[in-house]
Amino acid sequence: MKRTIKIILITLASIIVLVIAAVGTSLWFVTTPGKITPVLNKQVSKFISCPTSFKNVKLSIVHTFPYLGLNIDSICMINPINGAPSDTILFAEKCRLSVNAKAFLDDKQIIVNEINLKNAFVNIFNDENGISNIAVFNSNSSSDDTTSSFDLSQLTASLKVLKIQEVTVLYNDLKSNLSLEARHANIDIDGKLKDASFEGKLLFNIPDASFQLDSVDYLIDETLDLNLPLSIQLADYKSLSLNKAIVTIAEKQIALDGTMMQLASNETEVNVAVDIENWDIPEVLAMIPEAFSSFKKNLSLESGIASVNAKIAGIYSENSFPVIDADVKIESANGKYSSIPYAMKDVNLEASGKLYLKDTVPSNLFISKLTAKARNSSLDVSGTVYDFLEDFLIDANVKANIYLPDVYPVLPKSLNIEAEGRATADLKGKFTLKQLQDFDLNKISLKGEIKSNTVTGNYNDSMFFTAEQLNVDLTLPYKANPKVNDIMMIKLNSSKIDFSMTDGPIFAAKDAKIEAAVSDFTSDDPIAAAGNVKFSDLTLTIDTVSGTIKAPNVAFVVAPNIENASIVDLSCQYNSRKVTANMGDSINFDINSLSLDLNSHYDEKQENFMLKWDPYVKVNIITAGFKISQLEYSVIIPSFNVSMTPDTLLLSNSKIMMGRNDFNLAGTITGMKNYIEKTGDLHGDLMLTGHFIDIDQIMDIVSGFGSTDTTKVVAVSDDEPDPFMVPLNMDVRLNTHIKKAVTGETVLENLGGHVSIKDGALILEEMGFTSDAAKMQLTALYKSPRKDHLFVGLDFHLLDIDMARLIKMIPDIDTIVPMLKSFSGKAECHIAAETNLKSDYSLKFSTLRGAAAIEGQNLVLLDSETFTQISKYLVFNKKAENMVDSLSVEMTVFRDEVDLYPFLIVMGKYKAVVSGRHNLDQSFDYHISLTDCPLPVRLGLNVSGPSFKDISYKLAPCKYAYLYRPEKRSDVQTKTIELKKMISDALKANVKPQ
Amino acid sequence: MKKKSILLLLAVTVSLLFTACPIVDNPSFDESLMIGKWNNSGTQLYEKYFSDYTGSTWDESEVLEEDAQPFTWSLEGDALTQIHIMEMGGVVPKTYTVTELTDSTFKYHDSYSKSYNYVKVQ
Repeated sequence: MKRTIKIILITLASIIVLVIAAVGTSLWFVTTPGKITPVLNKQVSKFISCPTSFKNVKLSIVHTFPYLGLNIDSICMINPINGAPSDTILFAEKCRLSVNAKAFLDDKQIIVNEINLKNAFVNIFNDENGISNIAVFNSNSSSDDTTSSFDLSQLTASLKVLKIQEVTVLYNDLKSNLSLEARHANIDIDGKLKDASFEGKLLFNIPDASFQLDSVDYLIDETLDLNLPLSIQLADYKSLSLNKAIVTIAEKQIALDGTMMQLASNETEVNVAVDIENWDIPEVLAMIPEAFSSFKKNLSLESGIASVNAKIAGIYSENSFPVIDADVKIESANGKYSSIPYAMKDVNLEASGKLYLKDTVPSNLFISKLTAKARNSSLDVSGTVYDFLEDFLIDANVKANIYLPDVYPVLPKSLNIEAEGRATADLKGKFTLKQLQDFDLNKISLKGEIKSNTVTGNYNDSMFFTAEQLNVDLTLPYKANPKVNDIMMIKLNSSKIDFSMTDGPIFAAKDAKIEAAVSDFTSDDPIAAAGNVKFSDLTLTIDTVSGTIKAPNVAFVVAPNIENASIVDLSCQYNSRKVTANMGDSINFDINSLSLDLNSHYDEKQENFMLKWDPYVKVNIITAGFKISQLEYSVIIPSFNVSMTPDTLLLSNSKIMMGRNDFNLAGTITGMKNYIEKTGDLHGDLMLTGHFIDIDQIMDIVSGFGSTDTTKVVAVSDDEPDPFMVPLNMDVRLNTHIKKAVTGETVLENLGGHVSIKDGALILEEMGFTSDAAKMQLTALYKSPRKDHLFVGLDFHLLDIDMARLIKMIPDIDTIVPMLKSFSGKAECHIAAETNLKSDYSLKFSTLRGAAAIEGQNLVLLDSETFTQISKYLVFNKKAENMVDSLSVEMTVFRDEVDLYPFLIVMGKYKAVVSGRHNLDQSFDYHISLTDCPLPVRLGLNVSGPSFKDISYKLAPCKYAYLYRPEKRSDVQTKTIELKKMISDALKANVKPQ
Repeated sequence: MKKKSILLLLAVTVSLLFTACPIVDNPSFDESLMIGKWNNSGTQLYEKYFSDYTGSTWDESEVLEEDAQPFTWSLEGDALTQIHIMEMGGVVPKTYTVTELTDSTFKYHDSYSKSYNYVKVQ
């Protein structure tokens, strides 16, 4: 700018010098143009080194009276220089000037009253080395002019009016890379130019102006009108003062007022006020040079009016630019910003700002009001935009009325969410435009609330929701839980929420209060969250499971594991009042109070449920009822406490009423982790206490656990029944103390002992109990190596038993030993039996083994048809009492054979030995030897037949006359007695002390 | 007198009858021939005898060989005794009379005339 002023001033000075020269010459030679012109041409050459010509010079007094006038036709100065657009420096078709002749003669002052130029051409050119084509004025010309009677150095000059009509000015400065063109310009300068200063008014009307600096086009063929009341000081500290100047560029008016002053440091101090009113923004943006329009790349404005009141103050130099302090007002703007995916309408802005173009100080914009509309939403913003030339940091309060579908475009595409409804938002945010574009939640600061009467929507076309009276409170950033690495707190309140998933759960919640501190869900890291969820009522449906929960309350933390991010740590504390649920038609349950404390490490890679969840759980249930369709009875749980870790299950205070069963179950199960991983056994030590247990019902419930593990070798058809399969790899011991238990029709009391599951065997061990039939000791063993190959065995000791009650208690024993029903009274019975079973529990007779020893004293042999027949053949005295003094029976069962080893019956004077075989097809073959009787003979009787309905009696030799006379018994009979003892001893060896 | 004569005659007769009966020695068999696996002809009943006087038996119509039940055995003369050992702790003795024992045939019966006719299969 200063160079431009300098050039203008030099140009003016040159013209003035020319005029002065012409006037002086005219004064000396008042003569005709024919005389004046050559003289002038000659004289000019003394001042100007380049070829300069005046075609015709005329003096005029009349037209310029009282001043002396000079009319010149065709002034031309030529100074060719390489690179210049023209070799002509100055050309003017007409030039008229008037000077104060009196001042010149009296005071040696050249006072130019007026200069008029017409159809002029000015070409000023500086090459890359700073050489100018107007450096043609000889500074020592006056001292060399010996012909002159004046000392021109003594002259002072001033100018009042300069008018130039139709002038074309070309100014090119290659060193400064500056180019200026003004074509068809009219210039009217009215002022006082004196002593290198000017004060006056400049009027420029340039219909075609172009200006380029540093290869940047600031103006291209635009109209430029300047109305510049100004004063210019070129001496010492050059300055320019504008007094309410008006610059009009392409009909855009700028009011300027202020000063620019060049300082000693070659810097320029600027203090200018700029006033712009009602500019059409799109037109102005179009005028901004491309070099400064990077911001326009993303901006497309259709309309808008802008007004700016600015003050430019500060130092201008290569390194600094004055501060621009502006108030900006934009009205009714419509346009689009590329990063905002929809057009903005009716944008109104009232803002003020400070623009620091070259300082490191950020330029800030203070927005007192910004309103805008986009689609069906509206915004009302106030705040500050810090450093809007760089970071565009927004610190604003936003009030918005949002039509929710309008939000989709600004959400990340990965967040595939759709919603319907309107919401109002009152938010305070702080973020850069880039942060907003990137949805960088780690850097965006946002706090406020969003309200909506009704919102409906879906996520990923698979999750559907409706919320009523929804109030969402957002806080971002939010740091409260380092484990979660939370960045945002979301609080959600709604009077009613309905949620459903495609082929997934459906739930409806009332009075929802949800708080969640969440991690950056836009990152690739697993989402972490901590919070609390409360509802007054929750209705839930998952597949065939439906239920309602009163006042559920969940506090939760979900976060990736610190050491292994692929594992999710889950912590959950749940409590609720009444829970009711239906699992299809199979299970219904009702819980009055439920609390649950869960800690889990969820590993998606694991397949097994327990290993996948790695749960640490505490469950406390108060008063629950279950109904299971497969069971005819309900399960009532007055209280239930269980703690579980991946390895241990601890049951405490768990009272269960299941059908007719009423018991407390407590104890510990350990080794679950190893059991699931199949690296170890499951260990359990449980205590079952209660008043009553129905053993058959219990068997129904536990049947089938681990059945798949035990199936091997033999293929099983689908039609085969499912027997009870004993789990493998378990060492579980259930200690019992039951006051009363039933199985079938058998009532057991004071049931004490323990049930073990170990090595694939279910062991009823040393179970002692009493019934109305006997005192009993029972050890039973059940194994299920294969589904079609089961094993059952028992070691049963009935002490002080009532024979009739025994048969009633164990009806099958009547089949095996039919003769037992012939006795009445107390006896002692030891039984061991075992067999393999088929899947329907039918016996595999080839594996049936059994042994029994029955001892009795003072039994009654019941009178019957069979006994009557035997008495007749053996000549029993019918009057004799049927009392059996002692009885010692040993029998064995081998496959389908029941062998009754010879035993002695003593009835008064009669002694008989009985032995025989009874087959399971009911056929039999018995022998009775009457060894002592009042008769002198030893009689024998064979009793046989296909069944007891068809008995054959046949007298036979007395087979066992000496069996109970050791001195006379044979080797075979001795062997028989030894086997009897072997059987009896082996059985009694298992009797435990009472 | 007549009654006494009759009783005397009866006693003499009975005495003569018992006196006339010769004492027959029971046959004996080579127990080593028993060692091996035997199948009861016409059935799927098997028995195995080992030299340590243990053995096992199973019926393949119902169980596999691996399910065979154990016993101990002894052979004295023609008297075969099997003591079947129960897992629950009792024993089931069985006594038989051997009638034939070769390297391929093994026949015995019990005192109720139930006989077995085994052939060696292994």
